[in-house]
Amino acid sequence: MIVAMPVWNERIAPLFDVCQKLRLAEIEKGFVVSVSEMDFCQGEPSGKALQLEELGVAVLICGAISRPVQSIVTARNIQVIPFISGVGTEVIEAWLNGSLDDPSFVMPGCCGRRKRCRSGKETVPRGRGGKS
Amino acid sequence: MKRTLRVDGTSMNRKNKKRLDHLENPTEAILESISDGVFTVDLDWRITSFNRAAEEITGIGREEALGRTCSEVFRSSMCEVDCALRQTLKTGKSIINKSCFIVDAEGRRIPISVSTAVLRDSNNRIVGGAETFRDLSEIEELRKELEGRFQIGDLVSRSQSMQKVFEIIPAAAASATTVLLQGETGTGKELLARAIHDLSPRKNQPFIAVNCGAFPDTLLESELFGYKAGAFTGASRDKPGRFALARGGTLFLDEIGEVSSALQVRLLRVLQERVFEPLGSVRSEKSDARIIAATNRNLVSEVKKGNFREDLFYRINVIRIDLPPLKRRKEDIPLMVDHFVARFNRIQQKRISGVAPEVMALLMAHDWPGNVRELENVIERAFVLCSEGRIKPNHLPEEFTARAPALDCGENIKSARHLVEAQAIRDALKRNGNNRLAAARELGIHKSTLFRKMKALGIIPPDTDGRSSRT
Repeated sequence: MIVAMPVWNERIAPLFDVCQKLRLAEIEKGFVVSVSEMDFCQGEPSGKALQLEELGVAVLICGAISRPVQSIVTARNIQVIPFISGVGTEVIEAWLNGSLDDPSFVMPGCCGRRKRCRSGKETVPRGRGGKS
Repeated sequence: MKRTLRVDGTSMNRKNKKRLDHLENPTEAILESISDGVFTVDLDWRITSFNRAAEEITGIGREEALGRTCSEVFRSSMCEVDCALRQTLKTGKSIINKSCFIVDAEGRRIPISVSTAVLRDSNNRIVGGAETFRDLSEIEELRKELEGRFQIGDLVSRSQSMQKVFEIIPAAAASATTVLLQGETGTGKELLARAIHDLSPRKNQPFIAVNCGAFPDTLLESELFGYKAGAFTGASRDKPGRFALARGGTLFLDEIGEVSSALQVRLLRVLQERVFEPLGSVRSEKSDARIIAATNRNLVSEVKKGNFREDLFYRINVIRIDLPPLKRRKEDIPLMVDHFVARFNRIQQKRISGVAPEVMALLMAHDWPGNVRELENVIERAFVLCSEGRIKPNHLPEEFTARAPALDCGENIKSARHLVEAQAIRDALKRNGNNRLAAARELGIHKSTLFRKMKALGIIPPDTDGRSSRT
């Protein structure tokens, strides 16, 4: 399973719509087995979504993302975990541990939205012991 | 600032005044009362103050914002690559009214304008920066409302032929029926399809576009219907097709006239029965995507020639919209030029004020075989070459200026315009078999204006009028 995170200065990029660098973490049996970084498609959101799909990304953990862009990404069968902040390595570790709901990883002003995500279909997955 | 603060309260509401009564610091009082958002940061980019308007515009309480990195609170489109505050702290110069957008916690894009300044302590040392931002949502809405008469989505026009198209769009958007768009290449078929989608009840669902002419037959089949793992060599995992991706939304099939006969049969089945089978699958999947098809061919004649299935044609030809070529609606060129100049100014952060009159004359005289797309490319090219002021003839591709050699000889603007106008009139008369009424219509001017211009420019009226020779 491949998890993608847009990054900027080692942290999750503040806005997915305009981010430029993408970090990919390959997960096997609940552990990160490889990490790579690459330039991310600029321009149309559909180009970004297509690049994610071609890279085989299953989950996208990102900062702020506008609604139309999020729906374009989810239309490609990619789960989006939005409005996350923090250092990239700590975020992926928290996702694997199932502690991404911790307020320290949630962007300011987004607690309500994250709560809705927990109870809705975009439930934050538990990495370890979950699907790999 | 938008309004003057008077502490006697005449320019602030009672609620704000009550709040101010409890404040001892007048600077804080001012910041609390204004309608522009203001925040300050220290040298580590952490927010040190966040006023009431900033709370309202971003939807973030100051208790959550204070101490956090500004990019994670503000999350604007320029934070990552083009931060105005970073630039100000680097150069010491303020930036005024830079446009961008922020995304709030609900995922809404809010257009804003940003101004910045350096913060210094009593020893004149830089201790951080201040950013002021103004919510432009209302202004943007008003602008859209004003332009709305001549604009739907990214389609801009005031010509009669396009007004007819604009009248059909809302009805087409409200229904879920199949739409067929016909028009020359570059006339804006995809823009029209997007406009229909954006006005439809499916607007929050995906809009998926596929160019049927861009894929070989076998690839197009897997692209449209998807495949299951193991369906063929290299298919290591399931891949959803465009019909599946467009579920609940709109599927735009561009260049449908290029689809092979075999695939036409499969498409017909999906449109009739609303089910399809991914390659390698034994189970059918349902499709509720709304179909908008487009072509630059005349499908009626393709049906007659036997190149396009009649049953498929009738299935997609429920609502048909014909997009006129740009040469038939030249009166739209000035409006479109304004639209593209505004758009590229926004995208490229430039301040190009428009095009020079002689440039407009050259654009009006051109035939536009590539239609709106060609015009957009010409303006985009000019933006690369023009750094400020107005776009001039030397910013246009050579084929435009080659038609008017006098432009390079230091002629004044008036005579240059006359040359181009004369050329445009001669071309229009030639194209319309000397029919002056048709030529005037094509040029987007009244027939009496055409006669007046012909007389002034010394164009000898043709011996035979196209209209009389036809009848």
